[in-house]
Amino acid sequence: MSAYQEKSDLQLAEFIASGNHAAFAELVTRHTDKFFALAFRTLQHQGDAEDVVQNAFLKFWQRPQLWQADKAKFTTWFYRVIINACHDSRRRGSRETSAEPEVFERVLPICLSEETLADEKQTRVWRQSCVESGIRALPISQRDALNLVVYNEVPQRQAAEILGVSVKALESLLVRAKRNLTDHINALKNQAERAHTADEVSNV
Amino acid sequence: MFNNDELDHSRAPVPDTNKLQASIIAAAECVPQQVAGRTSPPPRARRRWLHRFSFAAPITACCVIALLIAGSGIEFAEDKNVSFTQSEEQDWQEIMLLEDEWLLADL
Repeated sequence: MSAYQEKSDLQLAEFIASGNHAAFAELVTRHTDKFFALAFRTLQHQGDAEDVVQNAFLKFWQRPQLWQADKAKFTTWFYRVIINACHDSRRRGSRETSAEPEVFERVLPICLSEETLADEKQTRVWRQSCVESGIRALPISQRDALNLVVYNEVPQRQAAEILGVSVKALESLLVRAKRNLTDHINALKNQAERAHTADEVSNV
Repeated sequence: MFNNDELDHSRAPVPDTNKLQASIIAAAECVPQQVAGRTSPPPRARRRWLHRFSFAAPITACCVIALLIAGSGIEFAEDKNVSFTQSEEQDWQEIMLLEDEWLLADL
């Protein structure tokens, strides 16, 4: 058991500021999972998400004084750093490996066939593709809110602080995100069903 | 509309981060820390700058003094020329006066 496991983030940051590598290792071990999950959900690409998290941690190692403990909790501040880095990465035109909408729409009728829908795993894959595609189509603010609150289980108050909005505004973003996501998925489902019906008619 | 549970189980799982953690920790060992509040140039660079300045200042001062001396030298030369000419004229007048005296004495 590490001697630093009992230490708070603030204490670890003080050790890190004096060049303590073991304290930095503890901070990385403690928080990488949740920061990586957010980056992965936001960028939908493992390699890009890993780059973002690694660069953010190394910058913090180089300049731990960047975090001002009196203004925000470490996780709040670092979530914000990760979100900004993800937006920068996306703006720079990083890769997106998830299926593009066109590809997705071409594959959807195949996934929706009775044989494949019977297969539970295929159904799950189809559903995942639907949701990933729908989330990618959301406005950035709604996507960030959804990723933080729903997928990273960040409390709404903290999520609002991270995104720089009020709690009410965050709730509104979440409601709109879920509505848009549902509409998007229903549209894809209807489109796929129409394509499937047309295929059946042409076969007859 | 989706509820949170439905959404939570409908996305691809997040990959494991053990390798990433090891990579970050190892990378930090190779990256030097930047000390807080260091906004001025590093000491070595400043010393080098001072070293250069310590050479440049006396050389510049010497050049300025040399130029001043040279400039004043020209003026001295002009004065000398003037004074030489004046003294030559005075000498010549004295000689003439003496010659006049000698002539009068001869008469």
